Amino acid sequence: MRERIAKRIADNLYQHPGLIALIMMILVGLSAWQMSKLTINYNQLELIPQDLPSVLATKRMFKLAGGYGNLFITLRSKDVLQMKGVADDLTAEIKKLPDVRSATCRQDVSFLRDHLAYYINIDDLNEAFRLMRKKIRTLTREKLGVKIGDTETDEELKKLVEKYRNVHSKFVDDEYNIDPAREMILIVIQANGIPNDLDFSKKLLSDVSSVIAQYNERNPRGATLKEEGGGAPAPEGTITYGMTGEYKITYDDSTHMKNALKPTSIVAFAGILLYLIILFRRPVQILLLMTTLVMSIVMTFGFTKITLGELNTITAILGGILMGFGIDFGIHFMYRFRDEYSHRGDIYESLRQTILHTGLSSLISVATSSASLFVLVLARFKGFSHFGLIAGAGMLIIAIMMYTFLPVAILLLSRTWPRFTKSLVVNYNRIDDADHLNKPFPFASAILAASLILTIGLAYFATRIEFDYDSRTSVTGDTQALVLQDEIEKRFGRKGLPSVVYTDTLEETKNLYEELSNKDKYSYVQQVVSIFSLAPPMEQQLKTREILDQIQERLVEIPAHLMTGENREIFDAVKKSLAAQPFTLKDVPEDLLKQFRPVPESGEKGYFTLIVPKGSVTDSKLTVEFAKQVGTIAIGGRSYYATGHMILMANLAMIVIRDGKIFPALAAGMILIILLISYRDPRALIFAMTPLLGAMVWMLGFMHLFNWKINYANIVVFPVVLGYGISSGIFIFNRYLETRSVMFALRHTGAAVAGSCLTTVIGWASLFFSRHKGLTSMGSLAVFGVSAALLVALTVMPSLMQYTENKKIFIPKSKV
Amino acid sequence: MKRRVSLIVFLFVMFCHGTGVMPAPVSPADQKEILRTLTLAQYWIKKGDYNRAITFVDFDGMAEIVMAGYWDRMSQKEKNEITTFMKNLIKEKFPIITQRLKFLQFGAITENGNQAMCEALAVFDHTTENKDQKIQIGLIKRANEWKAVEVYILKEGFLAGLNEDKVRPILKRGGTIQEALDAVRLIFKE
Repeated sequence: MRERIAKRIADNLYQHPGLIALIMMILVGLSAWQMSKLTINYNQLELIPQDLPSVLATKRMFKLAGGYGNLFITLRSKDVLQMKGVADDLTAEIKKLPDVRSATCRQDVSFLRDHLAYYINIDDLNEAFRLMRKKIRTLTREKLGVKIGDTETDEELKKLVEKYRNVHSKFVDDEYNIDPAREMILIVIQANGIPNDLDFSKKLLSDVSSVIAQYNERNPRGATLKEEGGGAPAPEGTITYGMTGEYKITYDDSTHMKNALKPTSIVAFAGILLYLIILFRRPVQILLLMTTLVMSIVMTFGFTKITLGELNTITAILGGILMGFGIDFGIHFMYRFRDEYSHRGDIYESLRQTILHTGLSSLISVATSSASLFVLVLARFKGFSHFGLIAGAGMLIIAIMMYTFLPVAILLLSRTWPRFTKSLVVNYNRIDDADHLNKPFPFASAILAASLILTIGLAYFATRIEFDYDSRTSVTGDTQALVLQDEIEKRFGRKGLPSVVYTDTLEETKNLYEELSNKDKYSYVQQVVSIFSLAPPMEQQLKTREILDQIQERLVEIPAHLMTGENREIFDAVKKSLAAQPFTLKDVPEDLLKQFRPVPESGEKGYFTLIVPKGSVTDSKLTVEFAKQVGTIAIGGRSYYATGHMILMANLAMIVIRDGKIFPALAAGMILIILLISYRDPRALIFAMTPLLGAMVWMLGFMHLFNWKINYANIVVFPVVLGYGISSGIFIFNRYLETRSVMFALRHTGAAVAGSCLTTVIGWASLFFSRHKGLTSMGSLAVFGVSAALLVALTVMPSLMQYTENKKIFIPKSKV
Repeated sequence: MKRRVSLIVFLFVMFCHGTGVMPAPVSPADQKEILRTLTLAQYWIKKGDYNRAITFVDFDGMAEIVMAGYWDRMSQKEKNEITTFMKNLIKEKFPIITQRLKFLQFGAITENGNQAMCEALAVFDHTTENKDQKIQIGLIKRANEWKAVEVYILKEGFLAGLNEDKVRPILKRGGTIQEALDAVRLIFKE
């Protein structure tokens, strides 16, 4: 049956090479046309299932808030007055930009400052009183000559004072967005577009840069604005500025990724070409291989355009990967064809034998690899499902091309150019001599024992591998914008980006605020900022008032004339705050309230509630736990959905982790079924899967030892290593079954297997040149995994075959 | 920043010191007796006769305030020991504490059972001290005799403060009476 099929294919190729080549060329032409229209979608939000409540809520939030995320301009100077003036000027100019919805560097905080006492937690107020009484006792004792060392009180008091400098993310002692050290001012820009819209972000960043550049040329304050370079401190009169926030970070990451991919593709292509030159040393054969490969890739991307319409951040790198992966079929074909032709001298028979033997191995290999990739289509995470579809289809297309276009190209060339036929003959004398000696694979038992011990040891570590929730490990390295974002979080005490919940009515907003105020239930929530936190409950305010009355009564004991300068200002501010009476929402200025309301263009009249997490999105566990607590909030039979970067990242993490557990197992199941159908012998299955199992255990074990973690980017490497492990095993194992000689199989197939693995390794290693954390982690993992598969295939697997051969045990009966 | 913190501390101290004694009318006899006690004490201080001045101080009461929390569990021997310590201490510190004091100007007196509180203005020698200090003097009535037991500055009791800052933390962590006594002795050694 197999022989009949092989003969039929060989006959068709042999009889109609021109027609087949023409059909292929037409298909490639059509694919190239489709591919030219292919775009990359960098919006990571679209990788998550679009029917998730948090995604739907986020999309609604775009409409309600008129955008999403911020652009921050940081100004840094020693001259605070000048810096404030420049911030005012720049803010006014930036506001004029058509894409800017709002720009602020200051806000009237007098209401918050005057009513500060009402925002202080009563427990904190009591604690402050306790500490301050302690302090006065210490001072009194010192005055009376009794000194008791007490530095803790000052420290604890300082912390408490700092805590209430910032009320609902507004510093109450300065209306500017200035840090406590008075070194940095923040201009917060909200725009009429989303950060994931890269064209919008590009224009916004360019417009803002132009405003700064123009201001720098003719600014009335005598300041020189200089972009931050991370170098020495700026001289007097110079204000350094920087840009960060979601618009800048997202744009930088995508631009960096695009730039990173350019050299990697070139390096991958050049590396593969160089290796082929070393392996084949025949330029025309290499040209044929590479042409077929490029045509296959073009057809794959044409297929992508027709089926998916676009690439995403993960599938964008598939070109290089498929090149490294797909060239293998060509290498195996060419290697076997030359082997057959050099021994037989008959083109047709060589073609038939190659299709019969290597073709079958390639068929099993492509079936298992593409099946393991196609399984990913069922994944909810589009990074997986699109990757699975494109890579699976790409593998099939390349395999088909290598067994159709490549042979017809060889046939056409051999018929028109006799010298080419001669180039197919290779001197196999040394290999043939070695075959005659028929020596066994050396040190089989020792290698098996050593590898078994190593594998058991590494299996222990493999089970301890962890997932890295930190999204930054999957993006560009520490760019200036990311470093600046971290600095802002530290300077301004913003731990994490808040998540937002929208409610339609004031009543619902109040219920939500009360629900989220349950600190035991919402233990990962640091703070809830709502319209109701601007006017605390009247009951609480009256309690505060009682304490304030007592305080005020004693305040009279301090003679006002003793206070001078800055102290007098604070004294007056405290007196004013103590005199403030309880208030309601109606008393709160509109300027403070509007941040909780949708933009007028949305036509909605509801309210936003901000939920501040206890840590940053870079904190692994917290992100997921926070999302589990506030992702869906059920109150009185209604569900409210939180939106925001942290919730989306947590959803992404949960889906990736879930898919990452299910799909490798499904892929492994598919591989098992296909191998079982192919060999119809469980023993053969063990042999064929040895490189795969070994590679996975070694890779995961070493990953843990080197403290590498699985992340959003490198998780897609697993199916690739899975496919590679199986492919390496199949080619060697099938050749062994043909001859029942381990060394023969290694001599005739080993080089091709090594070649195919090394070209893949080159493809992945090219990602090291990207300087992109995500891509580099993918490259590292793949290089490790594929190298491990090759090492196992060339050492452990032959040892196992030799050992069973010698002991006459566990020998597979199957014949290919 | 440091100045700001200190000032805020100062202001809040003003706001939050103890609730003090619930005021009640003082009988004319008690008022007369309290003023007599305080006036005589001041007289002997000004004369420099501290041995006579301290006869108007209740050392048992002082020791009880400092050792509050442990007092009821202390043996008579321990109580005597700390009372004697307080007596010796006051003898030693009185000249130092009062050296810059010019005189005390007594004000309103409030009473609560056998305890009383007398408002006073401590007028200092303005060559060394730039402002006078409002204080309160706590008194206790034992065997029909009023004696001073505590001084409040900015409504913070000096001895009650020592108890809160030094003795209470030991009590809170389950420390022994001896540890608490040692801690009190140590304060004055420093």
